[in-house]
Amino acid sequence: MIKINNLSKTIKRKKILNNINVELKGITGILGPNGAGKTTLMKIIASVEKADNDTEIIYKNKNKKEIKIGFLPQNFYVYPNLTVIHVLKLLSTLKETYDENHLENLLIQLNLTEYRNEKMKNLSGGTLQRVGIAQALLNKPDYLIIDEPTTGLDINECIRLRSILLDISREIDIIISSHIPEDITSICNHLIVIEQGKKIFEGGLERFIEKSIGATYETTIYKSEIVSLNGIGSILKIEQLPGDKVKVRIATQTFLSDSSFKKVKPDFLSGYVGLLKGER
Amino acid sequence: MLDILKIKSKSLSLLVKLLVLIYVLELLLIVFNVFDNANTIFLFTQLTLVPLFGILMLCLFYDLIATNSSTFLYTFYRGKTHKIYLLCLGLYMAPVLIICVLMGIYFENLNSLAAFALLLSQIFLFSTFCLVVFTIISDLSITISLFILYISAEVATFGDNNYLYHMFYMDLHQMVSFSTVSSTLVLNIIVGLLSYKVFKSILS
Repeated sequence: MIKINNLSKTIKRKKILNNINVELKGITGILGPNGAGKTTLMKIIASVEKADNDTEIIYKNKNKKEIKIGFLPQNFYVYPNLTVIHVLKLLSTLKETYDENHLENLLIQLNLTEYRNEKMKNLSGGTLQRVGIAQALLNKPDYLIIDEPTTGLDINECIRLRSILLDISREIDIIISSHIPEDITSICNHLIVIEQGKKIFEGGLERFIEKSIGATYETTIYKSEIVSLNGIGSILKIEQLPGDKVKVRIATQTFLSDSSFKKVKPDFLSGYVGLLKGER
Repeated sequence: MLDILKIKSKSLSLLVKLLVLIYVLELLLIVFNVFDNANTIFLFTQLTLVPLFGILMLCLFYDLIATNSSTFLYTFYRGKTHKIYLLCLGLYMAPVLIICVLMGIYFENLNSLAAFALLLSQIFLFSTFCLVVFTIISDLSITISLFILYISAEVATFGDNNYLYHMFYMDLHQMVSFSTVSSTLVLNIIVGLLSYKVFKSILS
């Protein structure tokens, strides 16, 4: 369990994070728009950055007093001229956790065996992220902290990475930050939403979706009419249909009596948009 | 710690090869008596081996100082940077000692120990100062350019520019001995220790 009390972070007199109190347990997702303070929060939890003085972070485990943390930063890219195996050996030696068997197991678990002698600069984004996860697991951590893992990856790499994280989450608790809802819904059971440095939600996924109950609609319109929907609510999803038409899903606080709008079951995105628009 | 250096040197292979080449060249210059004056070969040694170690250190710690992953990598290096630096210095000085001993053998008037002590102080001062400047400006090419400019100015004026600190021994007439290099040696050690303290406090 990681318990955070009064977490604040000020950079150049600007409050990046403001009085955050959360308890991180299980598989926690930290969601928020760009610039909300997710990366700063992740770095502070991973002890890469320091928070303001009055912040208290308690790292505790059921069995041990202290917990071990593995951290994968956003845009992981180190030592372009070294091979995968050399990077992992170097980082584990620096961390004083070098264990040949564990390293080999990680290469197998993360499908990196074929890339072991490949230079970092020659790897694709998805493979780099898997190397990043491997380095985060070098010290056999209790918690894995991952910042924006799927940014810049193509769909196949995203899916592959999510399934790997899901597999890892059976043994290790994961804290994952993202602005991509699918990253969160695919593995997390606990959710924290931050906006402009403040926590605006903490709870389970079901409670999160409830934030938008009764306010999600679907309608089929011509492409040229999409702009007019902005005045009614927030567009959640646009699906292309044959011809000039599109199916649009919107979230709104207004009751829409028009029969062309069909009320649908709210989903994760409805809750997210609802929260960010202030429907709390 | 040696394992760390072994792996990191793989990414600096060009620089390491250049270093070996210069060591060999130095040895050949001494053994084949290319220069008549011991001070000329000593000056050549200063002007090659001192900046080379500085550049080597800048490249070795480049990942920790000037990349996007610096803050992340810092968590791995915490409390180890100065140890890695001292290990490198020790390894680098071993062949330098051989060169100094050889110079003492081939040029009888030259004091090997004084030459080694002075080179050690210069290499220590130059590298720690390079690292401090690099940490502050976080730009490798600017840092290297600044120090190349300093060395060029020192060579051009033969250590006579009043506005510069003179870490090199550029007298071609008076042989290297403790009496001739003592003031430079002591000053280099003092300034070097100050730079090392700053480097250690920033990166450790």
